[in-house]
Amino acid sequence: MNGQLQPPIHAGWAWQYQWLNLSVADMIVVALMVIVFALALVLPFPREDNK
Amino acid sequence: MKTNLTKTIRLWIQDVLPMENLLPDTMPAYVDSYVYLFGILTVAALVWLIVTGTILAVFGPDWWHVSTVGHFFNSMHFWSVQAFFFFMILHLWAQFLMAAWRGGRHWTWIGGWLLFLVSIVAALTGYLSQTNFDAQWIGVQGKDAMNATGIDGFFNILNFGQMYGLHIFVLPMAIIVLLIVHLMLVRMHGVVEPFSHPLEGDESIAQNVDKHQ
Repeated sequence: MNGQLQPPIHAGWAWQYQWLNLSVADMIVVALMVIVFALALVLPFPREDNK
Repeated sequence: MKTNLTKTIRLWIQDVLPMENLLPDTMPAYVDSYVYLFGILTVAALVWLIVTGTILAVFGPDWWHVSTVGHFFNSMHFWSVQAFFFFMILHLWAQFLMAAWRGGRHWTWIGGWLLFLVSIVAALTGYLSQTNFDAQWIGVQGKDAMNATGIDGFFNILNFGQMYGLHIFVLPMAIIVLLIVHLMLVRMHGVVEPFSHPLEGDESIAQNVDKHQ
């Protein structure tokens, strides 16, 4: 890698499979999205009695 | 009675989007779920994007790179983008899983996709407008992909002025116009019914429900 231009963006370790490149930050965001979506589905929504 | 353009437009608006539908004070019972909040959370993030982006545009790169307050608004703009796409994707998942294009809502669905695609271009031009080494790197790395598609002739990501202009005016305007149409369509057709909630008289939905039971 000597002499090769390096990107200024340092996303850290990344899982690589063919063209797919997912950093730890990417995977944390996807996991958070799944968790928030699941919580939105299961948590009871506060409702008024007079509806 | 004699008609004119103004009256025709007024009658059309009253017909397709009466005030009771435009600004309703009640919602169907099935809307009582946090899943239905993802859309408005995306809009809230967009409002923050516009507020922080306007402040950044007024004071300029010298300010957002070196001053503490500038850093703060730069960060606010960055995290608003994260929230914007985070909630937009969750909104997309929710609408996809409830097949929100049902009941004549196909233009709402297509408009949502258009908003998503324009937002991606807005994000790209935003990364290119940072005026730092990241922006240079992204521009130089991305130019060949743009060239390969042939779009580079009128969308040159190495042209900072063009990218900045698109980012702070053209694309936000496109998003705002598309969003207004999107919201009007939601208010015209109402929130899509769950699969287990057939509307009386709507056989297509009732058949759908039968299929899923």
